Amino acid sequence: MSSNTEKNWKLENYEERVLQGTRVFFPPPSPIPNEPFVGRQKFINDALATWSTLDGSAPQHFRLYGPPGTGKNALIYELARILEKEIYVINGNDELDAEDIACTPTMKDNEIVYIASELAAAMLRGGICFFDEIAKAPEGSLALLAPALGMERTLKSKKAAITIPASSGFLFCAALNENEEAGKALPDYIDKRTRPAYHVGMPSLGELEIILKSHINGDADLWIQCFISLFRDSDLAPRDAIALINNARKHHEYEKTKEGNKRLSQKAVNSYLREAAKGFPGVTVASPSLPPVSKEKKEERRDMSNVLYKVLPGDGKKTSIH
Amino acid sequence: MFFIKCCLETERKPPYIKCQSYENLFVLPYVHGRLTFAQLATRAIEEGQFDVVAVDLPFFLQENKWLDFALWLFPFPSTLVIKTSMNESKSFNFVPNDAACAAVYKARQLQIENASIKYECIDDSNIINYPIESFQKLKLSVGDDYFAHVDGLDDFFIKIYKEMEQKWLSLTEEQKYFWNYRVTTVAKRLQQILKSGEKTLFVCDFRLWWLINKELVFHDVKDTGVFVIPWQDKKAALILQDPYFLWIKGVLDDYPAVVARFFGTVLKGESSNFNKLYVIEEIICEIIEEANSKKSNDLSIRNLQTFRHYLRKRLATHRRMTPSPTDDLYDAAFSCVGKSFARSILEKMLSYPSIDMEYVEFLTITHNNVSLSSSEFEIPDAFEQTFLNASDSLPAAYSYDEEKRREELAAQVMPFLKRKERMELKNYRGVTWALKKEYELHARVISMIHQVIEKKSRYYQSKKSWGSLKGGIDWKSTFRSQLQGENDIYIKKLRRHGLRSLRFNAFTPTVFIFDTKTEDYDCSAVGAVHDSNATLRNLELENDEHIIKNSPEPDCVNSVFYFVTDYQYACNNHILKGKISSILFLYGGEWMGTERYNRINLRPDKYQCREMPYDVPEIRNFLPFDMLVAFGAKYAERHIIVVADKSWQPSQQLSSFLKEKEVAMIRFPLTDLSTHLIERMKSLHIISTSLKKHSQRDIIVDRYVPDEFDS
Repeated sequence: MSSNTEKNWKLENYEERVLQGTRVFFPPPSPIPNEPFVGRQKFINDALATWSTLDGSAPQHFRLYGPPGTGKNALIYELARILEKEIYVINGNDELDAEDIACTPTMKDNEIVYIASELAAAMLRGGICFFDEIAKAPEGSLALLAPALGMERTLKSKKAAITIPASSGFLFCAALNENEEAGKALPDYIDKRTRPAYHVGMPSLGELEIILKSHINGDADLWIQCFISLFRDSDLAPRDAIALINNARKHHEYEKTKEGNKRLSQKAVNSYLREAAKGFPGVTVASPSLPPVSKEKKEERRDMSNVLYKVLPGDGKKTSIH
Repeated sequence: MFFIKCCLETERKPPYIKCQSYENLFVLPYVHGRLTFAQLATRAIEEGQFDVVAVDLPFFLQENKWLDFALWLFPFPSTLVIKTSMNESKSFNFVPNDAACAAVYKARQLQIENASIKYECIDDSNIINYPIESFQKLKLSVGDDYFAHVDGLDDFFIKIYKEMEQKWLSLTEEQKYFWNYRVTTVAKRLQQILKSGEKTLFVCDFRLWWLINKELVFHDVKDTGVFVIPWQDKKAALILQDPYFLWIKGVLDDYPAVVARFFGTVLKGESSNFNKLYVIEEIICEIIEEANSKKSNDLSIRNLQTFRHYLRKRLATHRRMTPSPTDDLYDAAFSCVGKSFARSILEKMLSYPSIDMEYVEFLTITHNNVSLSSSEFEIPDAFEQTFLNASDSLPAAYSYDEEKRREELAAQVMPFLKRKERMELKNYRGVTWALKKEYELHARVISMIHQVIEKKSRYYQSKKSWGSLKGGIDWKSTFRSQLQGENDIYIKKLRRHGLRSLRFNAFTPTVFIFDTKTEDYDCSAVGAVHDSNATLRNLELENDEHIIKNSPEPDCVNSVFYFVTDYQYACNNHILKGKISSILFLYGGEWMGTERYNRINLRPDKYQCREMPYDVPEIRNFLPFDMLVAFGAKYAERHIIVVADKSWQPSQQLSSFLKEKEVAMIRFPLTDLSTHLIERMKSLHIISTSLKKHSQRDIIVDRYVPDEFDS
């Protein structure tokens, strides 16, 4: 198959439209993963309020920030499901340029045609445009977003010489990580146009338990219980928690093939989980309750206290902070 | 209008309900602690020309000066704490936003102006002996009470009374007994008043009125009989209460500042014209004006527009007219404008007159009186008290979660320690500890700086190639050129060749120089953070269970150094807040404790630091901030990052030192960090061992130490 035919085949799912005399191909929406979504009701409500037109004004745009794996993307997919809207995803990266945000030229049937971006498709069809990792895109490439997210609600492509007005159903949101939000990773004009900014933090233990129950297949109650009691002090994102439990269970399955089917004890589950946790940085195992102290040990401690100041750097007074 | 879009100038509904059974009885059913009903009460008295105002305050408050005294203290809120058993106490709050208190206050005010108006406290004195469950079982969540103004009292309570029917059926016989006893007692007293034919306004808890109304319909009120628990006199105390605490508990309405302004209108006799929503708007506008005068960076017209629209959308979505202080106003301000604006709103909205003194008057409560007493008792912590005229049937927006949220927010304005925590934290010990949240903050900021510098080092310009390949072929531009018939090859021309192969890790020393005024530095004020091995850590933590005999020798390494220019204590001296002028991180990872020590200890010996900057003779005479840079360079592999203002320039001494050590200095402009972040980074908190070991450490620390990230 020649490269040209391949390109034509790739454009098959694209919708061809002639806009202001230019042939433009619009991409299909991104598939919405069929994964259950639980909890985070407050965010859902907040986001729906932002996108509402109940007060007679146009929908506002927002952004989500928070540590990886806390469900920012899942939240947006859930909103798309609730609103029964198509979703178009752009992934920010170093190589993204202004044309990628609007229209990029390509060859079809020996003629220059244009492929519209996901943003353009969402604007035209009234879908949701989700700009993931927006802060990873070079600052200059975001310039075209300004009129699209501002009062004008239009996207202009200089190369294609077209202007795409946003349909009334067009919605926009972006996501970036916590560090980028804390710094000034977004140019001021994008920062102001993507507010409110919601922080999606780690879920509470109760919420995490519900998320785990809905995402881990099979009889995993014991695994989840042990996981919660073992890692209650760790700030583990739901995605990592699911991966950790699944890893531990796979390990157990593998052991089962070697050692035969044994009844799984809580101790064994804990041991599998501890083993799996080694692959996840930042995981701390909760300490069990401490036994009472004997007199002898108290004496030992007193003796060792004298050593303390010998090993402290400097004069032993100024570095007393840990 | 800032956020209220609908027209508020609707027809004014009467501030009371006319009772069908009695010609001279007018009723104002109310929800405890809600300003809307307090305003209706004062309006009713101003407009209604009543002879008697009956309120559902306990009968023992009737014939004494103490109720008058508590009201005289207004706007300062007070609480009558009654010790009902060894471990239990029940309390009545006296606040201007409670309809019963507001009604009595207004009646007293008219009395002073020579009006012939009386007030009567007709609730059962035994209410303090009722089991608390009988109240809790009839807990109802009312909607936005502002609708009581708009829809009128009848319509407002119709739906709630339907729910009440269901709740009543779920009560046990025992619980019904207490309610019935109360209803009968109050109904009898009310009938007594009504017999005189005087025009009476009855200001009554809406649930109690629902029950009394049924009783009054039959005109024949049953006899109460003797109360199941024989009356015993009780110890009590009238105390001045902390307004922040009352707000947390939902007693001081949504916005204490609005309550204070309402009380101002009561004093002037203008409460009829008071409108809660207008006042909220007025206060927001004042905050915006203040912020504008300070030329706050956060507050652009676009941000304000976003805030305004968002607030309206939230209210419309939740079908509320009054913005909730936490979920609506604070969250909207935080997410649309920023943390400092949200905090200004919080401070202004929570401002309420208070006296910085403890006032306690010990009393004895008899069945029909309150008198001074010499017997004292320990006043329970405000968080451990049960309020009989509050925290009940508050708007749906108020819940346990809301209380927790209010606790967090109030702590931002006025951090506090609960009594139990104060007692547990009595022993102050010398060894101090760094904070996990600050470790994480520093780690994230350093990682972000690494990312930005790495990204910049990869940043290139696309140039047409004239033979050289420089940073490699830019395929994207090359293809584009082919498509457009240009037929050229484009290459990547790196902007900063020197940084091309930059890769950092957590061990790349990073120095932040916040202040370059040398006069602010005191070289002896350099502090350090060390990381200990398990043995030393257990010694420092006083973990006596640790087996020391078989443990390795105590050891520690230093990883953070800083200059402190000022410091202050908080949390009963358990938290020390230092203002730092520069800080060096030899290790910028977020690991803490022994894990951190182990990681550093895995490195070659020459990169493990066990000394202080002033211990190194060759850098001892450097300028303080240069000393930190030089010290960092001593432990650097190839690079040291210096985050500083453009005005800072390395001294000749420092440049030579860096050259000698073969360490490249990479500068990152301080101005590339947000102002909030810089301000946050300038503060370093350390905590005492008692606090480090406290089970509620994180909760306490969160009250005193600002959040990690500001939006």
